Amino acid sequence: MASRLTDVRHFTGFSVITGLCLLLLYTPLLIVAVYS
Amino acid sequence: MAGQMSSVGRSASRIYDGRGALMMVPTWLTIGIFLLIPVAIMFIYSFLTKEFRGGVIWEFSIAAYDKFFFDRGLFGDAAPVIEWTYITIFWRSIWQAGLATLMCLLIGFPTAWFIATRVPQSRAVWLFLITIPYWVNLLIRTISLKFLIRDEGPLNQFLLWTGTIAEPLHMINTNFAVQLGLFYSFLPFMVLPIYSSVERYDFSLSEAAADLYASRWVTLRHVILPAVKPGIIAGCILVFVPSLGAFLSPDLLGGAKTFMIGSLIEEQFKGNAGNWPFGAAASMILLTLVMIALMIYARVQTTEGK
Repeated sequence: MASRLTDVRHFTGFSVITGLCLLLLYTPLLIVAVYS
Repeated sequence: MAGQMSSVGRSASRIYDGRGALMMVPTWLTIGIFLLIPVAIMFIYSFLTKEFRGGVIWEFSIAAYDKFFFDRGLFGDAAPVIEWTYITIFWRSIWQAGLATLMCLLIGFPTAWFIATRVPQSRAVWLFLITIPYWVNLLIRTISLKFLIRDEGPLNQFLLWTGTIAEPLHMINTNFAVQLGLFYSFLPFMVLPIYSSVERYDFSLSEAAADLYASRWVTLRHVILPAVKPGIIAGCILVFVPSLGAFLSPDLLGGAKTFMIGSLIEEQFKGNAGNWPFGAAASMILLTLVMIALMIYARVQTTEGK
């Protein structure tokens, strides 16, 4: 439990923000590709 | 043995001293041809006289700088008053670039941290995923973003379909659209330097902080952020400086109310109606501002290092 609270390699939410980042980067390109 | 090593070291040092200057020649040539000469040309042009069909007349004049800062009426004979139009455009560019930098930092830091803390084999894949969209031309990416956020675009259609909104959101030609464009254009410039800093971070420091009962967020604030600060600052500079002079995002995604300094400069050199000395003067003022900001940063860094 203690290690979970102090493990800085896994910040809550950072993976979600990374996913959001990839979504923002790829969405415009994918939609244009689909429309083309 | 130590004597031999020392002798080898001295010999290598002598070779380097002799050829060091010679080895720097390509670097200085590149900087000179592609940086100093163009800047010198812009500096000279900013003090020349405007030619009506574009171009310049080789007569010394400070009219371009005067036009930037002062309004002398339609015929140029009125008493000078401060010209706020261009100062407002400059101010708008600064805060737009600042906000874009902040957005990139808020998304870029967690992303860089997440990638740098994966197992070494998968880090390359994550970095690859971040950089792939940037293989596409910037113009295409900006137009695709415009296509996505327009009133009848896929994003509005999706939000209407899910019932999140009752009528289409007007996003195009707003500050938000310009922000999104700048963020989209320069995000990897924030992620990559921070990633490089985090990768070199010594995690035993965090373990030491944990031993002293620091929570993860306290460790992040007091141990990690100071340690990776050089990467964060490098990222901020790499995003802020090109954002300040960007003209593609403001032109394609913004409107008249989101006009930025890059667009102002671009207009002066486009077609026959431009004013080259004025464009050059605006460029020199922008360059001076950026250099002052970087010199303040360098001074602060030097003071902190002592």
